[in-house]
Parts: sequence; C-alpha cells; structure tokens
Amino acid sequence: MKSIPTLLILKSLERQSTHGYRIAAWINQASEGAIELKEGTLYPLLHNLEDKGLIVGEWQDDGGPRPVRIYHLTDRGRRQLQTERGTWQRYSQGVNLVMGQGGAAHDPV
Amino acid sequence: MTPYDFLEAATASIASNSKASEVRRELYAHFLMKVEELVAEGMDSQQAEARALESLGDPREIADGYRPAFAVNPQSHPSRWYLLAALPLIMAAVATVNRSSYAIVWGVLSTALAGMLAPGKAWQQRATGLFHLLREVPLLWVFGLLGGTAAAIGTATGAGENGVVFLLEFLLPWLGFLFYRWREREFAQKRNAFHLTWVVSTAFLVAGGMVYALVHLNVNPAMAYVSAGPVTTIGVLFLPVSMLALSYVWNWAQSTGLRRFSLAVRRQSKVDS
Repeated sequence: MKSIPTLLILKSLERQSTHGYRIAAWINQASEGAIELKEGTLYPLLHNLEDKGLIVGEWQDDGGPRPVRIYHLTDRGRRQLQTERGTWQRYSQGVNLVMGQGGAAHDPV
Repeated sequence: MTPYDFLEAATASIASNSKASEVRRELYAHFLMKVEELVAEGMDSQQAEARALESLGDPREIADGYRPAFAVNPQSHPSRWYLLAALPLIMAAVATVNRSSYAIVWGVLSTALAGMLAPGKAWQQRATGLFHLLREVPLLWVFGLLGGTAAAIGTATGAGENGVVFLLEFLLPWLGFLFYRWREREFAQKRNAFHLTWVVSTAFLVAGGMVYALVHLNVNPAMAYVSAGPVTTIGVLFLPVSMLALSYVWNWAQSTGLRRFSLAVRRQSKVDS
C-alpha cells in the first residue's frame, strides 16, 4: 500500500504537532523499531502533504539551538486520516483473514 | 561528502530557489538533531557528524522524491500519447508543405508508436488515463530538474525497451527509404541540397536514436532525455520544414549569387590560363 507512510505521518501529527525528526522517531518507537521512515521518503512526503493542504508547517523555536519546522494537521488532513485509517483497517483485516487460513491443500475443483 | 554537499544534492531537483532553501534548512536542522542525539549518547562530535550524515542516506533519493513528473521525462513515458494525439495535425501540415516527405511522416508516426508499444513499467505504474495525465503533468521540463536516476519507479526497464523499439521502428523505414533512393540512382545523378539534407539529417537522426537507446539501456534515462530524446523528436518534427527551407536556399543560391560567382571564377581562371 502506497499510502502507509502518509497514514503514519498523519497519525503522528494527530497525536501531536511536531517536526520531521520527531515524526520519524515516534513512528520508529511506536512500531517498536519495525518501521523506519527514511528521510528520502519523509521530507518529500511532508512537503507533498503540505502542498495538498493536509498539513501546515511553520518555523518555530522549540527550545533547541535552532528553529525547526513544526507541522500541524489541518481539518482536511484530519478527514483524510479518517479515510486512510478506514482503508487500512479493511486492508489489514483482509490480509489477516488470508493469512489466517489453514495451510492445507486447496479444495479439489 | 560534507553536509553542504549533501544538502545541495538532496535539493537539486527542486526548481524554486526559495523552496530549495527551505528544504535545505529543514534537512540541516534534522541533521543537527541527529548529531546532538549521537553526542548525547557519548559519541565524539566529528564521529557523530559522519554517522548522522551516513544515516541520512543517499541524497539522490531525497532529490528523486521532489522531482516532478514532466511530459518529456523518463518518469512519464506515456507522454508520447501527446505526440500521437497531435499526429493528424502534424501529418496534415507536413503533407501540405512537402508532398515528398512521407518518410518523415512515418518517422513521426513510428516515434509515437514506439512510445505506445514500449512504455514499460513506468506506464503501468503511473497512468490512469489521458485526462489524468493532461491534468497532472505539465508540458514543459527544465534541464536542471533531470538529475539522477529515478530507478525507484522502475523506469529503467521501460526506458530500455522504449529505446530499442524506438530505434528499430524509427530506423527501419528510414533506411528502407534511403535504399530505395539509392537504387533509383538519384543520389549519384543529382547532388543537390535536397539529397544532402537527407544524408545529413539521417546521420543526425541515426546518431540521436542510437544514443537514445544506448543511454537508456545504461539506466540513465535523465541523460538520454536531455541529449537524444527531445533532439530527435524535435528534429523529426521540424525536418520537413528545415529541409524545404534549405533546398529553397540552395536553389536560390545556385540560380543567383553562387552560380554567377562560380561562373565568374571559372571564366577568370580560363582567361588567366
């Protein structure tokens, strides 16, 4: 599914407005190290989502030595998250159903 | 590689300077946060910088993420649909200007046909119909935006196939036409500009087509498009007009200035001798 990184980014921003580094770190941590969002995917995707109006970014001083670009989820982004979430749930349920099938041979036709 | 080089390479495909500068700033902040994290874990600052840079990966992957899809671009092979759509108009225009240019018309037709027949994976992955393309894909591309290899979307296979089919389809009728002219001995009998332009333009197109195919097969579609792709396509489209113009110029020069000049030179040399 191509939209998994989008879903994860939107989910991360639903939880808390933050910058790219923390988004990647949170996804990695929340997935217990299973998902690592590389910078090559993360930043182009963040800017693409911003262009689509799903998130907005603004430069802020977060208390560190330099300003960082903090991203917030927009209303449109929230609606998109709901859609993506529904799609993902149906998809993952389908995959689980398939994977839960027994390993016996196919029924004879 | 220094952080500066990394940031430059990562943002090489962004056309807008202000956006590129924003992205560089953001990536640099990311890089510094990574360094701080590693230093906090007890790593030496120089080591931490090197490790942080390494962890950012290949900057070309980031650049690929920002590379837009243009009509003449390896990421959007189906762009030749545009050419196909324009074919009736082109053919009508060509036929009006020069009735003997059927081979060129076939060249244009085969170019479009090649684009249709060998779109490869890129077509399968991107296309959702002509209207989608018309809406999503800008018609112009910028030299600076075609940088690294966009292998991630599986362009390589499609580009290679496209190059080979393009070469074969384009060259075969062209060579057949030349063979026909050679058999008719027109080359030997009449050495005027019309035939000279046939030879020169054929050599140009053969070379262009070969570069196009070979470079595509070497999995560097960006370079292929920058060099041979647009050149051959534009060459094919403008060939009838340029050939006609050249032959007019040559005929005019022969009938007027050049001819008189050469006759005068000959007479003078006879007188001298």
